[in-house]
Amino acid sequence: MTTGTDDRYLTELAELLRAERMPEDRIEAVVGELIDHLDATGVRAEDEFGPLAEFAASLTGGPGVVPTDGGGPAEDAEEWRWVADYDSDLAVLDRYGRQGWEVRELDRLGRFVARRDRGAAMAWEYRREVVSRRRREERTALLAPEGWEPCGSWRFVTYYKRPLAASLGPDAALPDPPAGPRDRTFLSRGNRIGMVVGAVSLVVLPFLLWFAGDDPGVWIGGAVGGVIGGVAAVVGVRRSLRRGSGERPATEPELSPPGSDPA
Amino acid sequence: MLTSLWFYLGMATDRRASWLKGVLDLLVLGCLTDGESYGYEIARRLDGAGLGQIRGGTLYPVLNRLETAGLVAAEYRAAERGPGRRYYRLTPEGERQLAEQTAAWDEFHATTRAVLAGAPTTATKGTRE
Repeated sequence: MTTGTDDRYLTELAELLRAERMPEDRIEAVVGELIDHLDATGVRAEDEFGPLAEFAASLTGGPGVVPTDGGGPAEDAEEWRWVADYDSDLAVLDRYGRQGWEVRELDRLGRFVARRDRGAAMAWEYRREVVSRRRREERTALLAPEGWEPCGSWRFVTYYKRPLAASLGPDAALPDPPAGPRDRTFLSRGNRIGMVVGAVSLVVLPFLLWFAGDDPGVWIGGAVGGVIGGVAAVVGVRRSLRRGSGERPATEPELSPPGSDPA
Repeated sequence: MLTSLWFYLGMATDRRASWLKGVLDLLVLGCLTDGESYGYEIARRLDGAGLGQIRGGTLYPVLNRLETAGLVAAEYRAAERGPGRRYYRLTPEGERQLAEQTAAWDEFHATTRAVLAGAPTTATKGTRE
């Protein structure tokens, strides 16, 4: 069932479609299909369809984000989905962005969805911002004059991308990009150890509690350990996010430096 | 479930995208007739004209092609804050190409409009086989 927020979204969508002179029966059919879809999937309208104005524009063929690549990947396009923790994500983005991988979005599992057209690859750079959903648009507008475009959000973290051609020009093109990576998961050493410890604890803890019976010491110890582990995890994530988010010092370009006037 | 909606949506956006794809290099050259500009400003101007948002992944390959072809010249200027910008300006060859291609586009547009309006047309240089 749609929520009040969804109802408002759909009502305003209908008004925008009407303003674009879409026939009334067509509006009814479109909104009906959207309601069916939201009911079936249980997702929120704005999460599923994006900002209202852009979605309405795409339905009417009006100005919105224009997919001038024809709306689909080139024939020799490669797609690569991968996941990383907050200690590794920026390093992976930097490395593979310079090999022509353009992040298009973060999927529902939090994986980066990156694409590269081998025939027309160009280098990308990325940045990460910690920003609430409410302030996301404001931050995006602030970064846009520098050429940054949002390319994916996961809870309170938003990633932005920018073509290196914005500063390097044709030197950012990659006529012969290296082969695509095989790895799909990038975790720092600390997080790998943490995950192993967590997994072992989950297996061992029930046995310990079972054998401990009514011994309050074991229960209290388990609870305290859980709280300490949880706090440590939160502190670790916050520290990782603080380390690389926002503007970063320029990294090693690996490509030709910005040249002066070639003319 | 959403098949017919996506079909409708796809037709509208694909057609518009195809139109724009065919004329984007010309539009970018046109944005430089008043003087030099940079990527974000060009994209903003096109958006403001009602052509929609042109993403960097679409705009910069066009600018690169124009630069490689010698139709625009570029200069990177560092900024006090931020990463600096690459400024583009028309070359004399770019100005010549812009004038020539604008005339060709006008001719094509006039022919298309006449056909869509159902008016009798005469074959023009750009459409005759």
